[in-house]
Formats: sequence, C-alpha cells, structure tokens
Amino acid sequence: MLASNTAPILDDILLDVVTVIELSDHDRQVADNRYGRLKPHLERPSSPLREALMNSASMIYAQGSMAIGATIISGTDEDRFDVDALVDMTTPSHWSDDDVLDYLFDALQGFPDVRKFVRCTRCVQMQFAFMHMDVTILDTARQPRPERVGEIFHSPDKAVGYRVPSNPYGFSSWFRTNVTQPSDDFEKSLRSRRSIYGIDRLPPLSIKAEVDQENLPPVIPPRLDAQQVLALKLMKRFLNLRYENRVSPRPPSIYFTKLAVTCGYAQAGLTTQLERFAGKVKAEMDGAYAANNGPDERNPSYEPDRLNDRWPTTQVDRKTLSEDMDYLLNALRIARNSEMKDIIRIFANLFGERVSSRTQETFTKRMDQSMGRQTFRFERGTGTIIPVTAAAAAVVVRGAVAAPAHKFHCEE
Amino acid sequence: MRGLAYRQKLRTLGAQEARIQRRWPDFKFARLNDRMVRWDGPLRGAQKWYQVRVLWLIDGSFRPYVCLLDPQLRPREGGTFEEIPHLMFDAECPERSGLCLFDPEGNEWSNRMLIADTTIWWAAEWVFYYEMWHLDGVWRGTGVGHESIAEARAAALYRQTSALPEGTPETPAVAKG
Repeated sequence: MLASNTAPILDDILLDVVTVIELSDHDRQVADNRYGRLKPHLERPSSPLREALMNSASMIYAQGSMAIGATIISGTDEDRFDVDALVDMTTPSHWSDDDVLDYLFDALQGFPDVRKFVRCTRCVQMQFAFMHMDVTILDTARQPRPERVGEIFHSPDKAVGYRVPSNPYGFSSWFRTNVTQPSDDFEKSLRSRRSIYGIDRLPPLSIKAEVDQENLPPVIPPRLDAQQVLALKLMKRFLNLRYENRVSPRPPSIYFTKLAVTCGYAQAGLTTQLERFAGKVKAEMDGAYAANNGPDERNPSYEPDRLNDRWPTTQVDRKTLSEDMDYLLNALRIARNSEMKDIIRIFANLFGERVSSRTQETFTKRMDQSMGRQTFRFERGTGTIIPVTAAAAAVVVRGAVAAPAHKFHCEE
Repeated sequence: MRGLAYRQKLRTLGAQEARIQRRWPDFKFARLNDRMVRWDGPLRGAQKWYQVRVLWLIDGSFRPYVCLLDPQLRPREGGTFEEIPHLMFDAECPERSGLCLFDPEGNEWSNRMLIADTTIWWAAEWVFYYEMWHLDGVWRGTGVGHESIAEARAAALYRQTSALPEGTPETPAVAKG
C-alpha cells in the first residue's frame, strides 16, 4: 500500500529550483519600471511613433512569459531575463510592413540603461544588463476589433515583410483563466520562500534611475503561482539548456505555454505535473512525427493566431524534442528513488550546475533544525518528510501525520 | 479500582503489531523467539526507499532497535563508519548499527508508547538527515550530546591528552573504515 506517485521532497526541491530561476520581487519591480517607462519614451516629442501613438487608443503591456508570470533566467553562464512588451497601436496606412520595425527601432533609441538595440525579424530587442526586452508592435488592423486582436509584423532582412494575425493578450487571459488556481496557503508559502531565498539579479541602480516611476500602477500582471506555471518554468529552463548549443531551431515558448495548460492538472504534486507535461509534449511530437506534419497549435482566444507558425520545419525538429522529453522523464523517474546527493546531480544535469548548487544551498538552509524548525509532518504510509505542508500536494497533506518531538542521540 | 490510564499501560505486542499494521501495512512481522520480534519494511525519509528492520523485546525491557537493511549504512566517501552521526554504534558490524533516535535521558520514549507512532517516523527523519549529511557532511537534524562516535572518542582522547604532560604523542581517534 505504498503511496504511488507522490514525491514530496522532489516537489519541494523543484520549488527551490523555481525560486532560484525566476524573477525575484526586486527584479520584477525593475522590470515593471522599464515597462512603465516605455510609453512616455515612445511618445516623447522626438519619437517617430509619437504621432501614431497619440492619434490612436494605444496601449503598452507585457506579453509572453511576463504576462503569465513564467519568466525565468536563460543561459548557463549568464543570469539574464528575456521579457516581451507589446505596443498595441494603429499604424498609419502609408507605413509599409517593413517600415514599422524601423520606426520602432529609431523610437526606442535613448531608452535608459540600454547597452544595445537589435532589430529582429518581428521585434526590436533592448539589451540591458541581465535583461533583454523584446518590443513588438501589434497593429489594431481591422475594425470592429475583438479585444486586443491585431497583426504583428514579420520583417526579415532579405525578403518581403508580411503581417501575422496575433492576440497575445487573449492568449495570456486564456492561460490565466484555465490553469488550476493555487490555494491561498500554497501561494503564501511560496511567497514567503521567495522573499527569503529569491535571488536579485537586476542592478539596483536601475531602480534609482527610475524613481519617478514609483507612483505608477504596475504594468506587469501579478504573479501566478499555479502548479502548471511552475512546471512551465522548469520545462523552459530544461529546454534552454538542451538547445543552448544546438543549431536546430528551438520550439517557441508559447507552444509550451499552451501545452502546460492542456496537459491538465496533476493532483500528486509538482513532479507529477512536470512528468505529465513532458508526456503531453512527447505525445504531440510523436504524433506529428508519425504524420510528418504539425503540430498546428492555435491561440484558443483567436483561431487565426498560430502559436508555432515557424516551428517545426523538419522531422528532426520533432524527433529532437521527443527525445528531450524522454530524457527528462527518465531523469525524473530515477530522481524519484534517488538519495539527495544524486538528486542534486540529476538536477545539475537538467537545470544547470549553478542552479543546482544554489538549490542545494536553499534546501539545506530551509531544512536546518538548528534554526529552530517546528515538528515535521510525514506522509502517511511512507514516512516521507513534508517540509512545508502548504507546498505539498493536496493528496499528501490530507494524510499527513505529526510525530512527537525528540532529539537524535549517539552511543556505543 | 480502575486500571492504569491507557497511556500509562505498557504496550503489549498485540497493540504494537496492530498499530504497525495499520500505520505501516508494508511492514512484515516475524517472531524470532519467545522474547524477540521484528518488523521489516520500507520507508523513505526523502525520496529513496530504504528497507529497515525494527527489533523489539516483547517484555518492553529495551527500546526498539532500528537498522538499515538495504541500502546498508555507509560512511561518506573517504570517511569512516564512526563518523556517521547518531548511531548506537556496533563496532563488530558497523553497517548494522542501530539508529539512535532519541535522547534516553530526555523522557522522549518509553515502552508505554507505540513504535508505529514514534520510532518509525523518527527513523524516516533520521534517514532524511542522513542523506543530507551525505551531501556535505553537516548534520542538520536535532541532536543532543556528541554527534558521532568519532566525535565522542576524539573528545575522550582530548580529555585524556590534556591531562598528560606536554610532548606525549597522541593516538589517532578513529581508524579508516
């Protein structure tokens, strides 16, 4: 009658991994200040976008990972966050599809703290220390307009530009509504862990420089600490490392974001959630490989918006991702019955050496009884310690048992 | 006259066995002789499953003795068995040393308590901290007195040598296992 698929300690260590790879509260504040500064900067008198922005009901908001609270560090050697902003506006009819990004590129010049501006195929990237912000223009296109639906501009160097139907806001709203919401206790527990063990990466200088933004309402939506979001963060980190040195194109994050929801909620905890997610991605890839076609994942809030419109392009892309999921599932299977030393090694392999050693540091600090920890609770039938009851899966908490206080001893 | 309150009665073998079967249904009972019984079963403090053994004198004259069967106790790489924290150290067969789960002088356990509700949970906690100790050599669980036999022997040696005249050679506290 052993508990089948719960893994309270693995869940707990994975939560520490999440705390290490995500934006700290301080970093969110810095990012939010930058989002807040975008609109006044693009509307300043010398900006080529000023007139178009002032003449339409324009908005600037977070999209992608920042809109759903799934932003994580990228790279093994550098702790950098990649965030996205959307300039939602009506572009003048005399602008060509290629002009739009050129004007945006010019308009962003002079933005504080930017080290480099890069014009990409669909956005302009502002490179700050430890943070890249991709700014995209969404043209409101036709009227009447479903809420925040529009077209973004695909403008390559050596080909003719075109428009791509898009509704990032609708997608984020769909995502936030469709994940299984966390309990209050779980949110509180994670907040407290984050406030103690979160890692600040963005330079505090940026906040000082933007002190005039402090009174503005936040631009980025509040965090969403749903289990599916946490699994998404872990999956993204794993894939960042897997694709780091590959020449093959990496699948878009938004594709995983959708599958993080459609894979469903796992009652047995975060490890099972990640396994379920990986299983879903693998099934999608194997199906597409067998059909030599697809997947064709659409934005549930706006059907013409194809989430993976540029990926995959070959069978190798599909097979590679399927094998990555096999790798992840196998590593988690081994971790489920490994001692901590080996779990840390496995996590170094999955999420990076530095992340794993910081995770070990966080975990050991949290578990230190010399810090005056309260009596533990245990998983019924297995003995597994449940370090933070609120953070454990509901099925585990329901059967949790406390034991009388004691002190270990030693004798010959 | 009313009997002793329930909690003050010595726990019978029947009571211990019934409770273990309820709490730990995968633990298997065996009677070794007229005086001694054992339960073998799986538990995990963290993720890894350990097969453990609980030995118990039916008359309750000695505390339950818990040891690891599979995987067996092992020292840290390059270390000794004597350095493993919180054991009832068995010098003849160190890998079968008992886990020293409570302070005998701290009134934390008596034969009026149930093994299923104390000893086995504590063993799970011991295994958890044992795995953490294997990470970096630091015991992060509770503890009273010396942490390990190696430490106790070193302390005894220190007491001895500090009583000796200067220049007396020291002997090593522990042999490598």
